[in-house]
Amino acid sequence: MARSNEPLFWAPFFAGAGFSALFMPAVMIITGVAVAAGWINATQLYQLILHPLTRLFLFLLISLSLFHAVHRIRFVLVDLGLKPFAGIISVLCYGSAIVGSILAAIFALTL
Amino acid sequence: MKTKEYVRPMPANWFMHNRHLQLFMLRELSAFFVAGYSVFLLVMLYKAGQGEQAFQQFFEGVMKSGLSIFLHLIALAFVVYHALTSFNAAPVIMDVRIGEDPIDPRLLIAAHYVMWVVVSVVILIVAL
Amino acid sequence: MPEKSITLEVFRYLPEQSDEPKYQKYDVPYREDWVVLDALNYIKDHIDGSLSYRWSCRMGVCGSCGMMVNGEPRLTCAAFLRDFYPQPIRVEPLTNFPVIRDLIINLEDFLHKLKEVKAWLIPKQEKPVSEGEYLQSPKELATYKQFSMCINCMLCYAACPVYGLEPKFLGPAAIALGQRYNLDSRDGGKEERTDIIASSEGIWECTFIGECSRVCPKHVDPAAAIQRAKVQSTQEWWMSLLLPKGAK
Ligand code: SF4
Ligand code: FES
Repeated sequence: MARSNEPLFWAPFFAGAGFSALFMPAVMIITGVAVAAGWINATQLYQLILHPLTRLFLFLLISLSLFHAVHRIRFVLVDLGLKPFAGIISVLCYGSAIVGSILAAIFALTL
Repeated sequence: MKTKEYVRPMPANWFMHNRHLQLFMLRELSAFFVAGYSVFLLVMLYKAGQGEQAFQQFFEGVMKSGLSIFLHLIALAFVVYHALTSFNAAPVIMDVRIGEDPIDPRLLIAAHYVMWVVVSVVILIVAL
Repeated sequence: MPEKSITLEVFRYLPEQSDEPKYQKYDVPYREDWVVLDALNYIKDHIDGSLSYRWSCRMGVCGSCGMMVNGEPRLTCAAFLRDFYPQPIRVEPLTNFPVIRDLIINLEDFLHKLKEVKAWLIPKQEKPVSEGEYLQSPKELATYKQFSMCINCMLCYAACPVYGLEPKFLGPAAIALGQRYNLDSRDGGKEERTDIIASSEGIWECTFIGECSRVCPKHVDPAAAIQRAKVQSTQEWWMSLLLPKGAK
């Protein structure tokens, strides 16, 4: 039996699991709670996003989280009975993660 | 002689069978919120790229809206759950040993929690 | 005082009588120190000799008495009546396997998978008996010992939804046993085994639900064996992609 090429997708899935677990809640507190509470205003957040390190960080967070999430979504859909469409589900899932990552890279570079 | 065997098909709602499977499904569903929030970040990044004025409009009009806050809070709950399950899995994935014996899995999990809290606090201090 | 009793609702499948299974109720005496298997033996000896099930050691070693006890895969020789009394107990054959008769499942598929994964020692280098044993330090033993505790009871297969949904999945115990030999310092068969373990029907089917490790009566932790194999396999895959052929 041939070894699977699954590691191609599993590596970013796994990296994304750790990255999103570690960083995403804090970022959500900033863009959700802190914005609502007025701890940060539009100019401050804008300046923050402009910083090159923030852009690099956001690119990684977006891209890895997408690869993490679509991998799980793919398996959820298949295990909930959409097995006949497993092929197209994979294409749509990883396809959107790739597109999302490219967009994130473009946006982060052209700020 | 071979007699007919009885095959029991998996019920469509197999993930409701016990509490553990329900929690597993909750963990998997958290992926939708991880993805959703990533898309939000993507839009925010895009808006920032359109200049300060466009971003300000997005900030006041969308991010400060009740709907955005509401969605943020729900997604935050799911993402925190996702984070907890990820850190809880650390001892399963890593085989950390002192000599012959694996270290106490609770220690490994606690170390991840501590790291998580420290990183989060640092991010919040730097950003706010 | 009348003797206390407890009700067992037992899955009955008698292919020569009906294509459909039914549940039959039996009232058996309740004893504090009885396990579900004792109750089944009581039924067989005193109430209904036609009931069929497997068992052998009565002490959690042979792995043959696995059944669903109130929907949970258990060794019936280790499932005490007192944990359920006075509620009735439902006893069914292990899920995810075809039923041959009553509580007896067809375990052909599992045996086949054990063979496929080569769950035996493949020495690095065969040496004549005269050269003595293949030595191993306690530390080397410790790396795989946990995975070697498996008694082939198949509770993990019954608990695994992935196996239920995709019977081709190699499954928890077979992968854990494959890893047991892969991690053995005396073994040289890792390459052969990895071809099946890292195939799409091996570790990559697993979504890390973790039920296998939860129900395992021997704390084998197949979920750990599988997740670690994923990490290792992923490292090897990227290495072979990034490094030129032949380089090690
Ligand atoms: S891994 Fe555990 S549950 Fe699975 S067959 Fe072995 S002993 Fe039984
Ligand atoms: S009878 Fe041997 S394990 Fe239960």
